[in-house]
Amino acid sequence: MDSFALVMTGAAVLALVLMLLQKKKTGIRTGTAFIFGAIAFPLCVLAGRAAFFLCSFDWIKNSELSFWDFISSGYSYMLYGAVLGGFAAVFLTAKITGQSFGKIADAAAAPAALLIIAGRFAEYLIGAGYGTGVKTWFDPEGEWSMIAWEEPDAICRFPFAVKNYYGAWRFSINLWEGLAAVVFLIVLLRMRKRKTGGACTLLLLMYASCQIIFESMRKDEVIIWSFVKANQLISAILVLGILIFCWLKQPKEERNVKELCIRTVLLLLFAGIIMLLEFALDQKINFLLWMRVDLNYLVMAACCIGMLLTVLPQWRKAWPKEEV
Amino acid sequence: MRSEKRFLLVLAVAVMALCMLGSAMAEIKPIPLDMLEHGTAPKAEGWIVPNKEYEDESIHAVLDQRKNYDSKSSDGGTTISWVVIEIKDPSQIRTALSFDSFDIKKGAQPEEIVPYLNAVVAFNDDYVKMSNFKGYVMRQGELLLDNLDDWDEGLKQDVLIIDDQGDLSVVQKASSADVQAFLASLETDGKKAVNIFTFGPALVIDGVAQKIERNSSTHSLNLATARTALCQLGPLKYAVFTVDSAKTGYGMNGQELADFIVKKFPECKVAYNLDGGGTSELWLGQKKVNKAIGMREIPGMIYFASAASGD
Repeated sequence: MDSFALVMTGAAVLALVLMLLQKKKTGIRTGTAFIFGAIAFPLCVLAGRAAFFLCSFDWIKNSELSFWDFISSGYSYMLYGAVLGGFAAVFLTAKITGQSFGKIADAAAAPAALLIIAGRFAEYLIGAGYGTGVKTWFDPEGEWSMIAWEEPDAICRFPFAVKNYYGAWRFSINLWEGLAAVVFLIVLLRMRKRKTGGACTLLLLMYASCQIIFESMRKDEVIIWSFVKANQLISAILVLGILIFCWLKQPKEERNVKELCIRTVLLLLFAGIIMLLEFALDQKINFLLWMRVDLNYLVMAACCIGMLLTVLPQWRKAWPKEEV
Repeated sequence: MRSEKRFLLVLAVAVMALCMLGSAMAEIKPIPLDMLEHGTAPKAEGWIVPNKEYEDESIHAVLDQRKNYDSKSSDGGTTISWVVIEIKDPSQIRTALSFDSFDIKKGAQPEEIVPYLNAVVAFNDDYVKMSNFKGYVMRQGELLLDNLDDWDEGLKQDVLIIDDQGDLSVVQKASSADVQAFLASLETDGKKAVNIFTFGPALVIDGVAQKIERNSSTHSLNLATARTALCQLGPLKYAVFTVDSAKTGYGMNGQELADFIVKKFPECKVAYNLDGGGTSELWLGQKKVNKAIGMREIPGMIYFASAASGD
């Protein structure tokens, strides 16, 4: 965990540097960036921790895990909690500096993506972020993959897989999560200037859409409410929330209720299919028993992209490009 | 003639000496209580019938199956598998938690746990590690949880205790006080609990199939699904049952399994229902015996290990 904390601290410094490098584009002042950095770091840690504790209260109350033991308690944080902490820091910084909330939030978007990249890749250091066993997945006698691969040694190595406690190679889902965050960062860096709040909302939208499938693939110690993974549920709700937020951000005369309804129905449809696929993964749906796990995840990925594409046009309308 | 007799005599003495030496080599060593101790790996030559019957000096395990069994509750025929196990020492019936820890709340794939354990027979446990700290849990002599009183009165669980003589006992609809009282009575008899499970219910007690109340627990006892049960047939003699479920709606309900066990083994002293559905697992050596829908990671296993010295 020490090395993880070290990587994240280094990444936080780099994120601040990125924020400063981007100040011309984002319009944020140097002082604002430093104040935000100073407030955001402790708030994100505290809120990430608090969210983890609240979401796993049932077993936290019986465990010996201390809230204040930040370093040696493993990876007991929740990213969505850190996001809330980040927004609280934006709010406080806006109050202190007088710069707008949206401007600071946008300036924080690319640095936040950088922190996600660092966090995901640093999961290698703490044995987190892994998925199914590679050999189990490709086992010719198993029922996981459409591809039978008796000796998948070529991918039983870093960075594609990590060895777990039992010496078995498990897929590194954190690798894919990290690469997705790299894409988010590139998109944010290359994005043309839009109305304030656009960059931040886009990051949230991209992250939440992708996290729905990543959470499903992760087999490490994730928070589960009944049979639902907490981060998966929060991600789906967040995508729906962003759709409504995008609609509300549009000028009143441009808001189209019919379009919102259609897009909401589409989102719910995708979410419903994903839910069905989750049950299919547990082989609880008789008519989907033929469906191998890799095909299941392919369809799930298509649904996640579908969710992203459903909201994207509304985001474009809410935050149109600004003339230079 | 005399030299021939002498030769035969020497030969007989040599054979006897070899036999004595052999039995000395095949000494049975009780396996230490520690969860990290796993017994000796099954010997290749111990497999009398590969993936079906294993025997060494300390353990004998035989698999039997009933295929295409039509239970009333099932939508179609299902396979019931049972392994009868005889061991020489109580230390050979053991448990392991995923990641050897009760605190790490994640499961592991059975195909990872089984080779790690050197098990001759391994099967799923009560899933209690994932139950948000409800239950009475002991593993390999270590008390991990004593919290039975959070259950609503109507949903109280039957608790299974395996003692240091390898005997199974059930405290039905147990509260923490009930289990503690039972443990005290065990100690009075000079015994100690080694493993305690919270799931159930008891399917058979003293050769009598229990009446399984349909709504008496959260374990979907009225549904036809995959099931796992551990039974004691006699001193250091056990049977592990699994019921397959190739599809949702296939398998057996709790009552049907209880009745089947009694019919098969009228001498059954205790049979206890463990977690089922996608968690149901039964392995003989390195081979999975049963088939259950789902590809769940499991939080622990019960297993029978060889105690033959590896010499």
